[in-house]
Amino acid sequence: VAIGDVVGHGVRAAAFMGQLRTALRAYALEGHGPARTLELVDHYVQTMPDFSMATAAYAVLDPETGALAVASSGHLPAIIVGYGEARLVSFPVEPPLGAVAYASGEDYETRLAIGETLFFYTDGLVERRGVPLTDSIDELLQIVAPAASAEEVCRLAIEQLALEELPDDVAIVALQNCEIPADLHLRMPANPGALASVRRILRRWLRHLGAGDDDTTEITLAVSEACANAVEHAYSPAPAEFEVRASASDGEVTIVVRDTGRWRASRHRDRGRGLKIINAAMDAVEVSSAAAGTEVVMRRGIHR
Amino acid sequence: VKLADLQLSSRDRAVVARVTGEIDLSNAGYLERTLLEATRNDTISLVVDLSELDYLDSAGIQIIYRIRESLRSRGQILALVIPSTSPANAALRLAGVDRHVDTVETIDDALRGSA
Repeated sequence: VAIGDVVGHGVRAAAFMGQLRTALRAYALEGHGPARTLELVDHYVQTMPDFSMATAAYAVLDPETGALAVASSGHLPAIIVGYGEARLVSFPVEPPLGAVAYASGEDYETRLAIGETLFFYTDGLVERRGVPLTDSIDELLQIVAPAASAEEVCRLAIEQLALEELPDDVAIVALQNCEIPADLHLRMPANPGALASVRRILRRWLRHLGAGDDDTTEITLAVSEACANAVEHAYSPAPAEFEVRASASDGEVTIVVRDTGRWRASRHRDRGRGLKIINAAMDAVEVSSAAAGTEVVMRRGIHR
Repeated sequence: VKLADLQLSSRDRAVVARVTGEIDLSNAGYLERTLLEATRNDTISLVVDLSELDYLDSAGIQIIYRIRESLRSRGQILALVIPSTSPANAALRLAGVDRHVDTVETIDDALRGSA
């Protein structure tokens, strides 16, 4: 997630912001970390004929581990809210975009624990005549501290602070590292792109249960193969979906993948290989096919 | 964000393709075409380095077989760098094909074997 604020108002500032957003997105998609991305956006800004200045902050969260990398170009400190407390993320602040040629910094590494929310805001939310910025940021910390979700952080911040007549426009962004449910229930579109999402969510869930690397690798492989089968055999005329349910008890996980099509396991050799992987990776596998669809139930003990 | 990244380089008359990230049903076909196009006729071998790959599924194993066949028909060799501790090796083992697919531990082993 990223936030930015351009110096000035009006059409030109809006157009500049649009260009910044595109540049940041393009560099971020190349896989650069936050500090390097902002550095590249800064280079880009410097090449514009009549560039303006802007502040920006950019954070990348790895939802599997909670690792959070943040960088800021002149932007106000972010806030992390969770479990009744709010704290400032004390990342080093580099010069704003367009301020100094070739500014560069390093990623600030921290953690966003499960349940915690990262909150970005622009100075419009905290700037008030006659009040020092540090005081109004402290006030903001107290206001958002009780929030238990990203929605609540936004609601509290806006309700409390937007009561006053704000001279500037305001942008806020909140990102929560959601709690991991005891049971997973996913409903995914039947296309191959959904497989990577299932794997990410499942790995996080397994790790949270205390599954080791081998357990996580092999169970994820088996479930992804079952989902690949569901994707390949989704014949329904309507936009097709498949479902994944996962639960755990007594050190054993049970994962069910259900789709609306029928398996044709023996037609392609690789499909047979997928089923072989499922059987080898799991302790017990049941496949049942009916007119309504195919269901695969997979179980495996995990070694904590 | 892209699922897999491909870096191509050439050494002597071998093309070295280093694939990182994940290979699954969604990108295996694209990867097969890209790797075959990168292996020109004057190349002796294609070295596919999967040592830093995080995930390989049966669709990925399928393209390994298909690439091997395509290269063989052109008189070229496929060498796979899949260390025994890698996630890619876990996939080969679970699919029961680890004994049918020749792999080496490092790129140097692969280049030595095909030289």
